[in-house]
Amino acid sequence: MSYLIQSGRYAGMTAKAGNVSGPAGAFAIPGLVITIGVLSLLHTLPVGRSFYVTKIMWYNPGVAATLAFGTLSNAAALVPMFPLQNALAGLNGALLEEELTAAEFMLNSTAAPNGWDGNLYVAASIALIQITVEVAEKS
Amino acid sequence: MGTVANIYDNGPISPIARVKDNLSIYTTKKWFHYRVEYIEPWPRSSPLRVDIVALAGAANIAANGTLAKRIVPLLQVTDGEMLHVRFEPLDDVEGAVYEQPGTGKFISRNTPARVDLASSLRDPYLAGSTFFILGFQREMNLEVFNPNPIALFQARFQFRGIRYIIETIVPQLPAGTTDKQREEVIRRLGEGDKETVAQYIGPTTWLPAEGR
Repeated sequence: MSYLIQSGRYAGMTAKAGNVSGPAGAFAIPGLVITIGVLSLLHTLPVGRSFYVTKIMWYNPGVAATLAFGTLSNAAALVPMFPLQNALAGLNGALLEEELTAAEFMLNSTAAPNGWDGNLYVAASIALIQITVEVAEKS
Repeated sequence: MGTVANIYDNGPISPIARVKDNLSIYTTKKWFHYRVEYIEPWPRSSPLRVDIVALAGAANIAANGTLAKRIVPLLQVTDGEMLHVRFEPLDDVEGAVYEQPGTGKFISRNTPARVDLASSLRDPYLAGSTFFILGFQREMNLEVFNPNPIALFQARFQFRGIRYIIETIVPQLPAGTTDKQREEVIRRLGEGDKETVAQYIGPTTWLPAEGR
């Protein structure tokens, strides 16, 4: 389920899959998240930690769509952390560590609208897109 | 001999004394004096691995939850045996060591430290996880914490180390020693008085095995 990263820019961190699954990431079990057309949770930030996203994979079984990955502001709005991605109809897509900026997801408890919860979310323009992520947690 | 060596040094695990060396061990607030009769390695391997979730008979370790401290049977020894152990978690959990249930190890006044998944990166030989188990019914207890916001279904820990067989040293007092003198020598040996130990035990390796 998890392993210690021994080399590279994330050395010393713990690699693991996103820790939620199911429709909108409703289940607190690592696995495949199915989008519901609005915000879906992809990884919950553990207390006292931060994390980087090291891999995102998706499959879009529907029509052409977009995916916005980010965290949630304390005003409950998505704060995008990466550029909008096209999820083409009937195709897979992936972003690897080399393609992702080292955006550190961490709790910012500043009051809305400036703060955010540090969890990883995706705002998909359609439902039923399958997404898994891998993160590197700093502890 | 005569010095504390290789116990918590930041290097590979190695015996703290040689066969036939003396070993003075601090436990239950007293020094006890032994002679090492036998040493063997206790290599990292699957029998020395334990899943605390399974050991506890639990379905999982809850999100941000704790599995109460419990004895780890694979670390139990008989009288006359001593284990010199290092350990690490294999899953993303944290372990805290108790010398029997009442006394934490690796502690400051208010806070016990834990060994976690990243411990081996900064401390590759896990010297900072070193602890000792001496004799029957003197087990360590392991408390496990889950820092994740989800339940985990395994909390595996891997142990390894060195096993010793040790014999208690009976101090040889000169003929004509009175009972009062004998009691005083035994009291000073228990206090770890260096001159008394040098006289009646000889050169020894001092091992502060338990901080209680």
